[in-house]
Amino acid sequence: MGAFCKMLSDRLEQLCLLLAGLLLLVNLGAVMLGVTARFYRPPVWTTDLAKVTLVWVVMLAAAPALKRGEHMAIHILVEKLPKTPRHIVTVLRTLLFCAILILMIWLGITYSYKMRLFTIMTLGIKKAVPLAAVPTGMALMLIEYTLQQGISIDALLRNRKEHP
Amino acid sequence: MTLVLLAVFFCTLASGLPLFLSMLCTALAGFLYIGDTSQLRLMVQQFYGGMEPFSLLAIPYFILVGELMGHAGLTTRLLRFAEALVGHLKGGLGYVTVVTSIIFAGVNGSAAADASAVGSIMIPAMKKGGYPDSYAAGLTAGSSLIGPIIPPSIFMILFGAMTKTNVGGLFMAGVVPGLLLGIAFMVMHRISASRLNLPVVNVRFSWRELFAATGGAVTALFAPAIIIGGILFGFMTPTESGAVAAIYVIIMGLCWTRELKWKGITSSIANTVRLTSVIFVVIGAATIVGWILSSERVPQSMAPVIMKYATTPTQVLLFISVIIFVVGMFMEEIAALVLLTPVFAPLALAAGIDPLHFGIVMTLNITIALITPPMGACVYIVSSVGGVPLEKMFRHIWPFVLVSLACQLLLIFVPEISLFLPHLLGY
Repeated sequence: MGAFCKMLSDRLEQLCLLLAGLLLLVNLGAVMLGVTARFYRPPVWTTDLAKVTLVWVVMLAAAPALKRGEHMAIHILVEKLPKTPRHIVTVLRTLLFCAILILMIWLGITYSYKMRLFTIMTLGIKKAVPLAAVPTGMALMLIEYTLQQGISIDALLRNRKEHP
Repeated sequence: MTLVLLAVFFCTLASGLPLFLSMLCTALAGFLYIGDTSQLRLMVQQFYGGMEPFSLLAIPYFILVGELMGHAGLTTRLLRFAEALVGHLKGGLGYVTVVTSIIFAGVNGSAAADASAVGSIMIPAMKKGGYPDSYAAGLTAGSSLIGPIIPPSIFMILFGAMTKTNVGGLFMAGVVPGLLLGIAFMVMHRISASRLNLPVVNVRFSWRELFAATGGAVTALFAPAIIIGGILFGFMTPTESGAVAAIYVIIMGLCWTRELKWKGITSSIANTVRLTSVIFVVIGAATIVGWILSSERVPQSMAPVIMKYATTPTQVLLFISVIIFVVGMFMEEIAALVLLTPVFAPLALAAGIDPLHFGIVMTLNITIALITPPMGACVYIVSSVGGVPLEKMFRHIWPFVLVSLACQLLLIFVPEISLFLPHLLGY
């Protein structure tokens, strides 16, 4: 199970980074177009495109950052706890982690759905498109976190088998 | 209300939850405390809104520039230039570290990037040159603070976006204080070099070596000119200048130094998007908490308390600085900036403090928190790249904190240090 979860996690990371990287280049291109075309015929859509792609870049790259443990967190206090309280805190943290992400996914979907009626005039797309980045990014983080838990549980079970 | 939010925030953070999720929990607790769950949709609205301002787009570009410079070989050229310039002095490697940080600050807006890029090269070199490891690491961490003060600066972009202060004006206001901080670290190093009897790098100064090094570094030195010049002459906004600088570094890396490879570009982009995400999710989450605090009129309720003890603008700045210093010790810097700016900026304006001056004081204040225990991010980075134990670093970092605080006090008492240049340039 651990190897399968790791493979899925690696694939997810690659996919997210690829999409986020491409969107960053689109973003850079849009801003550069705004700079170079300023004195000729400045396009009105470059700013909005840059804003939309930035939000998607941020939310797509959140899961790979989570995988690498790059989101700022303090672990030192939990590590200093005795074994039983440490396990309790870890379980509570896992539940809280999932609960808050699920809440944001739900709120994100409902809010995006409401905003489907509005259009970003310069781009001709629904306002729901950039807003959908929030639940998508949260869902990707939830998947990544679940896969990480799968890898950890598998390692724990293997360790118990080898050192009963 | 504020106490409940603080309790939820610190409990969830202490449990090991990532910072942005701790803030989302805090925001949720805030909405539940108010008792209006129909407003929960504001969590997504504010989270998205916090990340949306166009001026914040400059942040990924300046991160990208810093990443690309390393892969394009421009960072090592800058180091060689600094070595040719000041390497002949007693304790030359220390001066090289500070000078490189000053030049690097003109391209990269982040102290963390500076600490990582300069530290990975300079700390091993200083250790090899007979410097005590804690001093070498402390000097690197200390001089990395120049990064967010000399333009461009991620903190200033964020402050400008939140307070609607002109980011170009903030950038110009940071030039002299940034140089002042650099000079202060060099003076401190001069004293330490004599006390510790630190060695020289080059036996003597060589004009030939300096010209050769300048020739190699001229492309790197031109990047800050693009960024600052573009903003100064009104050709570009800070965001656009960041984008142009990124394209410039790519072209120079491919055509001039020819050290930038495909792998370097993809690695830089991957690192940039991840780091951007780490910063922006904190901005988004902190925006929600900031909105709750504002809607509950927490800033307004704090104003009479502060005004009771501080009556002049200088006293108000001192009071605010002490609070930010203490909060900064226990809170991540971006989060502290996003949370505290809406609280203190109206107060500072009401006290008659120039927004540019307040922006620089607040930026330096938040920046100092990057090296204060127990959460100084730059100390963690330098400890990691320099192989110096964290406990040892935190014991020896205090002289650098004190030097930074001395600069901070000077900045508070003499506003012209920050305001002279922007006023001269018409901001």
